[in-house]
Amino acid sequence: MFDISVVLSNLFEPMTLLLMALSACFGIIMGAIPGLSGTLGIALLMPFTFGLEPGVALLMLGSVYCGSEYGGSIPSILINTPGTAAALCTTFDGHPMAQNGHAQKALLTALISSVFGGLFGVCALIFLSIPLAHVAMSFGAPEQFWLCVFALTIIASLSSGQVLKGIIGALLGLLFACVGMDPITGIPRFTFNTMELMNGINVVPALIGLFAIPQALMLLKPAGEHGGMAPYRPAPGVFWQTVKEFFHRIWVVGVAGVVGLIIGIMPGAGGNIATFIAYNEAKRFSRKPEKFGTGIMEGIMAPEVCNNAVVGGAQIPMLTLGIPGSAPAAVMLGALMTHGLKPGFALFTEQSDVVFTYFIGLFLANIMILILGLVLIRIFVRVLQIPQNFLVVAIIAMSVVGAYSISTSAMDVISMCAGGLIGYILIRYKFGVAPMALGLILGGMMEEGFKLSLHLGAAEGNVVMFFFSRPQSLVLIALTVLSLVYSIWKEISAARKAGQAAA
Amino acid sequence: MKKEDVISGVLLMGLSAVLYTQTLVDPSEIMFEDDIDPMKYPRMLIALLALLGAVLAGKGLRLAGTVSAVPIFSRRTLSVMAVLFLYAAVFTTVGFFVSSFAAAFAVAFIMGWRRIPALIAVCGFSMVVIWLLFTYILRIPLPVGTLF
Repeated sequence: MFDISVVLSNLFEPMTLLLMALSACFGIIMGAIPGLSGTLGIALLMPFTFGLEPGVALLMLGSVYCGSEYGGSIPSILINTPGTAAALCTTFDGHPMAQNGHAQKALLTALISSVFGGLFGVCALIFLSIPLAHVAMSFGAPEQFWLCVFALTIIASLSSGQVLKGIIGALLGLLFACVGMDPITGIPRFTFNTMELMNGINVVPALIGLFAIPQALMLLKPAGEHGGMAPYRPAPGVFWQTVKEFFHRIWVVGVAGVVGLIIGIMPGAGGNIATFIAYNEAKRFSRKPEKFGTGIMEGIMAPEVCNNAVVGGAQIPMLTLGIPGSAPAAVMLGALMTHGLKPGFALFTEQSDVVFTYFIGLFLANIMILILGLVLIRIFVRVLQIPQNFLVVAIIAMSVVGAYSISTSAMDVISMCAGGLIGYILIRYKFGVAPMALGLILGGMMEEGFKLSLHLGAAEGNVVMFFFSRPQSLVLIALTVLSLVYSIWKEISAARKAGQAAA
Repeated sequence: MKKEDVISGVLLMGLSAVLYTQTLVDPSEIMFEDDIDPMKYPRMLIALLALLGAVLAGKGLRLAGTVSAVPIFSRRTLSVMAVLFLYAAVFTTVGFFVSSFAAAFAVAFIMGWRRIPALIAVCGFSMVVIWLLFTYILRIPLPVGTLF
């Protein structure tokens, strides 16, 4: 069990609080700039956390994640352009409300909703992680293998909307994870006779490359047109008025929070899908559904509560099973492993101080976001005017220096660049980078499970039975098959509908 | 025919073939007799990759012709990528200051900034800030190199 005094002393160190506040600010800015994202923010910040205590390092990344989800709402409301994909639904009511002269109220609604959603997700993270970690404890080698297969198939089918390309991306990630010496026999694999590849591909620089460089290259394209910024004229007293109106509609927090949590827990689904469902559910539960889309508070609350609840939900399978629920959680999983923390039951028993510092710290991070949002909103609004040229230069410089700083090695910088090139090609050919990143992260764990199962199965006399007969394995296999069949069926029916519409 | 899918599928099959040749090791190199062949698992993945590559190419051939309006690599993208790779290659030998300043200047120039004095000032100031951040706050030494 964790020691509360250790947790609180870790958490209330002035340096920890300062780093959390700076990270939350960085996250809000990453979310607020259309084209950038929380995933990119976490990938860029990751190398700078390696010298820190694991709990503090995770908290910094968690603060970026929470901050970016709120930050995405700012451009949605003011310029009708979502800062992150999950903030798309916020444009439906946020921008009309801002155009009606209530930009401050819209921004405050988004802020309060984000904080409530974040706190809802953290509560769920605390209460659901421990029981799920107990379930993970019963998993052996074959379950470890099937769990990875399940995670990869589900992220492949959900992240890019193209099942086949998603699976191919995941396979590429798994193959990249094989580069280097085989952990058992020491035989070099896919090294092309170069010494530099003997130790394998360092996951963190590869992740920075995969997520950051394509983003920078995408910004080279001319920016999309948007209809100018809605006027933002802060007035006194609006905050308390908004709080009062927020509590009159508190039911939205329940509906959207539950949706965000459930979809967040599902591997790979992430906030993009969840916010649409939450918006629709809030509309369905509302007494005035026809008002949605005209600039009402419920229309901002639902997506904002939801995408912040996803943050907690997505981390439940990440911390307990090693399966991230969203792309930012996938990058956080890479950071977790680089800090020597292995997801699962042991994390909650052997590293309980780290875990609970993180959990309680996330609570604090959400409160910080509320304060930062109230105090620094004028600066965050100004962020929308940063020229894209500057962003490209900044992302490239931070990626190179960040990759180098991991182990002061030129090889890491080259891995980052190669990852960037591959990531860009994957995105342009519509494969998406999330499946490949997850394949790279889970590759080692999956191969370990596969080989250990082969050994144990051979020792028991029947490898096939060992892989396919254990109850937990059967559940995971059934879930894998179900997710694949459902995605393929969905794709076929969409293609049929498109064909009928064309005819 | 969906050209992008056909190209991707064919490239994936080619990549699978190249990777397969890398799995052909001398069995005597394996140290213990009861060890599982270290190439068994990657070969399984390669076979699956080749198969799915073929499916993707086949699917692309069956679809109606579509042409992407935006080229995969524009001149700007290629130039920035070239700067990035050059930057990565000389980062440790030339040193942080010179390589980063040159790379930042080149990328900004490619993107259309033409106010040279302002550009020099911004790039120089940014590099000093990054260097101070790494050296004094994060305590991570940046490469000095032969030039600076």
